[in-house]
Amino acid sequence: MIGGGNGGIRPPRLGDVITRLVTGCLGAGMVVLPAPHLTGRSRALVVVGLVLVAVSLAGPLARWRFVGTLAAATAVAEAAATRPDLAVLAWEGLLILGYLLLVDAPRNMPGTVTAHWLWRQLPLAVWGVFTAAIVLVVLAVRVPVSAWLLVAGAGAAAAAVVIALPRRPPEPREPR
Amino acid sequence: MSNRPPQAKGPPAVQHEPATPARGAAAGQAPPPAAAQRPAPGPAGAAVPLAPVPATWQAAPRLRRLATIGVAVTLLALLTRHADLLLLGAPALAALAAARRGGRPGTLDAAVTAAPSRCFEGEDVEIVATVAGPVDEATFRIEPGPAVTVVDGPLTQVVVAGQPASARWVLQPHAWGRHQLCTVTARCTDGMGQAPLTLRPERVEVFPHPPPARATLLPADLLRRIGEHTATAPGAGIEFYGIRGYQPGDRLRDLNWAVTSRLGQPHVNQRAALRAADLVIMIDAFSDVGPPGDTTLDLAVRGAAGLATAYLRTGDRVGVVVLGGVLRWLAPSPGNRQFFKIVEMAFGVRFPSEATPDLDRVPRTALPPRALVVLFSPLLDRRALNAVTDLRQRGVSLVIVDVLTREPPAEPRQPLSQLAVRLWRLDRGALRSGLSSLGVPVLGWDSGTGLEAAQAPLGRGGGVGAELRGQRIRAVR
Repeated sequence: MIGGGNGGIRPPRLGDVITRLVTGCLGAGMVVLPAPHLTGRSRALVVVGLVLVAVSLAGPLARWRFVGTLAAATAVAEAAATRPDLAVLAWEGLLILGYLLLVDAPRNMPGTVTAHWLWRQLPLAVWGVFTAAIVLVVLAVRVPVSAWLLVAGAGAAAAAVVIALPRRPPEPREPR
Repeated sequence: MSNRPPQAKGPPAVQHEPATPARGAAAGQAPPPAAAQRPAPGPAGAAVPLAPVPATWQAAPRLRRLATIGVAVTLLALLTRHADLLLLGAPALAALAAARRGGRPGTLDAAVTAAPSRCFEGEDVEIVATVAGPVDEATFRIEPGPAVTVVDGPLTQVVVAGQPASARWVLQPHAWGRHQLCTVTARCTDGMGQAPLTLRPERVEVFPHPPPARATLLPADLLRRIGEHTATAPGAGIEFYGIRGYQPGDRLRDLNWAVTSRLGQPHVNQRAALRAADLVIMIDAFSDVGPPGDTTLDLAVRGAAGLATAYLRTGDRVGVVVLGGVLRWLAPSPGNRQFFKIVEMAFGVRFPSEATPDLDRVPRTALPPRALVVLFSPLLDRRALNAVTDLRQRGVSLVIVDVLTREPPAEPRQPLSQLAVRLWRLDRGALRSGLSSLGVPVLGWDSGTGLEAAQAPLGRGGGVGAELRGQRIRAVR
């Protein structure tokens, strides 16, 4: 399936508009969800987050990939500052995942290509939901907070990164 | 005495294999490039030969993004001793872990083709880029070269799970030469890794678009060879030459009955001979100014191609001498093949040099004494002007076509700038006047018009046409 964009010369395709719209909604959701619990100057994070989300989707800075990461980091900072309940945190994590997945979508794809591309992102989203549900259940069970649990989480994160990193294939051995 | 109109033959067609003439173009007009038949092999349908291209896999932006958020959240949870914050990063880390992993090939089979490999300026060239490999997504981006426009296909094309992934564009080159029309960058994404590939197609030979031209300028002394130009001598031609008394051996069908009955003596009509001419095109490659695709050298080579097409069409012999860093020449020769030889010689004229050409090195066969020499020059380099003087001193019949169509830009708010442009105009006028005093007519030619318009003043009696009186050149309409 082939799609394409020519740097803004042609009008954006419908599939691209819908993808950006959904990405914007996810981004706005991850920024706004913890907002009611914010107080004082920390409310500025909402404005900053929304601006970053908007910039990551349109405008000259959209090609700078760290803008999307900053927007997600702002949402994390909001959640860390407000400490909402577990359900809100779980939704927040899923919104962040959805935003990070979709903000990478190639621009100006035709509708069929967009649908195919979205379909290929589905397994990652399902894994994210599955993991969020497991962590939610584990955290919801009333047990004393254990530092070991945090260490295990950190270890899992490190392992995930190491596993997912691309590796070079082993060089073929020289024939003897 | 008028010249015979050129035959309705087209220019040489561009072929991958030996050139064949494309017939059917209007008489006296250079054929549109579209008329040139392109026997290009169909690139889209044909199998593209793929070659292994080294792939350097690196972390995709998505991996960096998810890893950054996941690790940041985990560290935050550790530092604040709040395990519930892990809920923010757990989905991102899960997505990282779920991404496809495994051995990625060190090379990817990829290719980019350009078809046809020969074309005229303004014709379509199809570019097809293909990547065959285990990739989830391939993003192709084309970077067209200078004086190349993309007429079909978006600059960036995304292929999702295509096997093999391919993208297609249609380009139009607007500058002659042997070009690499574009560079295609393919970013192949596989899971959380990506590998950028840079693909370059083979060079395409872009032939100059020959402007409409007619063989209206002729040397006074035509060759003995039979051609299509009406000579100033009696012979076995078509045009009426004169009347003379009947002599034994004359054909009865040539009897002019009106004159015979009036004078009481038999008189016959005489026909003018049909002869061929030699044309030597000189290209001044010392200077090359102007925007890409429309430089003075581009214009000079286009004009040379148009003139060569017109004279070759009438059976004349055409040669070329390139005044550049290396003095190169091609002896006059007839036939369509000569067109391609001339153009291929012109492909190599673009390189700067400080050398001064020695016209004595040009052999007599390349610069025949009775040839008409047409010099395409912007008249900017002193070495070219010295060559003009040298040719005139040798008695060569010479016409200059000035291909400098742009004036230096003047800043409207600066009076000195406008004064400088006025001085420049005066200097150009003095230069033209000096050349006229040498007996060398200078024709101005803009790329927007055909060469016929530039040659028109020579057909008239006054003005530029008067300069022909001192030369052994005649202009026919």
